[in-house]
Amino acid sequence: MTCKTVLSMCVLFLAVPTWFGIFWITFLQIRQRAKAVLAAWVLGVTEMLALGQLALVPLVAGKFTLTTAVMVIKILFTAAALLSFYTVLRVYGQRLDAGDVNVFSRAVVGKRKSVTSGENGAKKIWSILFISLAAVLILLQAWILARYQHIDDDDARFVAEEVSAVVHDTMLVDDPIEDTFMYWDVGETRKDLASPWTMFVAACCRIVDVAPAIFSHTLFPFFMILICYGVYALIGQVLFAGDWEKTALFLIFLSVLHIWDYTSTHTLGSMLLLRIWQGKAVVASFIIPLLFFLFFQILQQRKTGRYPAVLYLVSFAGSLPSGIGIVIVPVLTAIYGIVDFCCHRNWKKTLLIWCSAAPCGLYLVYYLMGLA
Amino acid sequence: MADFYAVWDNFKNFIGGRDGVLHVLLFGLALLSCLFMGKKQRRLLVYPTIFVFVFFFNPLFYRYIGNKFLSGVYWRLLWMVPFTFVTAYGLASLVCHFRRQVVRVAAILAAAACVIVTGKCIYNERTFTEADNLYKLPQAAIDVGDAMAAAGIDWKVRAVVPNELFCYVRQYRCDVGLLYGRNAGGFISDISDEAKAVYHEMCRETPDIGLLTDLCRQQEVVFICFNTDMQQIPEDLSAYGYLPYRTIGEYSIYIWEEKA
Repeated sequence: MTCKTVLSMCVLFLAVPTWFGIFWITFLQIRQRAKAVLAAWVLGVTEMLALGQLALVPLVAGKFTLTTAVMVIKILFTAAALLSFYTVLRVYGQRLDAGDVNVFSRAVVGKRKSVTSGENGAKKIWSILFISLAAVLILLQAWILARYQHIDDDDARFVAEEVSAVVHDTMLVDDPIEDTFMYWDVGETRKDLASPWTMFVAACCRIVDVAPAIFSHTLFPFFMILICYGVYALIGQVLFAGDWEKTALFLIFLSVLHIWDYTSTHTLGSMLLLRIWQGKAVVASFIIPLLFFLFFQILQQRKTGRYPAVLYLVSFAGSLPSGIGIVIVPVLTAIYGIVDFCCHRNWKKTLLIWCSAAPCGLYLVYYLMGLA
Repeated sequence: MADFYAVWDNFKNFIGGRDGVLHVLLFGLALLSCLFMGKKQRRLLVYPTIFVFVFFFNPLFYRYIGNKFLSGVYWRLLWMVPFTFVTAYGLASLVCHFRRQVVRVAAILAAAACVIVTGKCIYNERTFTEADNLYKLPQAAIDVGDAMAAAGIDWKVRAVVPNELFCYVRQYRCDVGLLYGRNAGGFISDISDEAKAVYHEMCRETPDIGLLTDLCRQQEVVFICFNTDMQQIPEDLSAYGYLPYRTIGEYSIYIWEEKA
């Protein structure tokens, strides 16, 4: 593993998604800076997954090569990056037109805070202490998974499919165990067409130029754990009305709960801290909490607002990692749609929420056909 | 009623039986406190959680959907219950009631201790070990895979490896195809009767070498790898059509003489 690999991972899972996310935070009008950066990162990753799903399903069905898939994904990523670039130009252009000449310097330096009095200063020190403790705990969890070895036998299928795709330049046509020709439309792997997570990982391995086992077991978990806690931080921000000290306490307790949640291998803590590189764990630890965050925002508004639009993105993104994502996203959408209707009696909004599960619904029909 | 018990078993399986009861109780208390915190908490956390539980414990849903399409993984629907973050929210809200920071820190420690005492740590010797290599796979799987590929026989060879290695060889390299792997236990697809017979022999401490090698030759298996610490294997298998190829630690690899 070289510096180039680490740098490539940082670009792919930090810089690129955050850049993608600029479009979404502008669209959703998220103004608070720290929250905006987190939301940009998280929604950018979601957009990456959604684009992966959009590209990979037809390409796997059409028996295209992994090289073609990587090329298409790169094109889609470039288009998304240009969309964000256009957003930045438009927003800053409007501010400059309005005569705000300090717009760029403020973006870099940030707003200057007023000098705090004694009591506020002490409160701030405690806040910084709690935020630092939360950050250390989260980084520790990410580092342990990147540093130490946890073996999960389910990788016999997932990582083997990725190795086969990278080396043979095919997508889901080799039996992951026997290496005989096995088109995706056969047996258990039939459902992989609707959720081609392993092919997305294989494409990332090609982009970063690293072996799938190293990507899955070392590099990806580090970033993914940080991203998952990014979603939880956003949830904390909603639940504690933007209070960072309380959000930090929430994250500290969440970390402790996850670390001491090994009562079975199925719990959320086990999914997050033992095998986050697998699609089902991504659904449990990233997609579902992200849906909670979006629904919390939607439920707090009487009017429809802009958040339901992001649900459409999550509907695609949630289908990529696992078949269980295809099942859970519509179910959770249906439940929160009902709750929203009970709270606001706005049937148009409820309908819009339910419609957001339509992409997932289409994949669900295929998924269930595959299982029947 | 049978459906309800099946759902209940799924729930117990998810929480880890008695081990997880105390964390579920903590969650229950946190959810109960959310009920009295205010309208916002009820709308965001309580009502949807109740809906999910009603949905999950519905025997009719289990009978017609869960049992048919989510057989064996029905417990995954419980991921929709925000167990951890509702508990974390409850604890954080409780701690935030204390105004003095020293008291608050003491409350944090007490609440964390409560979670620690009632739970099981994920970081232990069984779940995490020092990494053998960058791939984080057993070193033996990598060495055996490399040795088989180094023979340069074909772009892809078929092999039989000991049970403790068959999950890992193909995570490292795909030019070694296995006669059977984890699918010996019905993982992805069923294996042939011949492969089942080979697996059966490989599970034995003293395998029937004649039968094993006969079946392997029929299936065009180029390499057979044995764990000589766990299996009693005659040193010379040339009478059976397999020649010694390489020994790596406790693993002895034999090559089909037709391909040697």
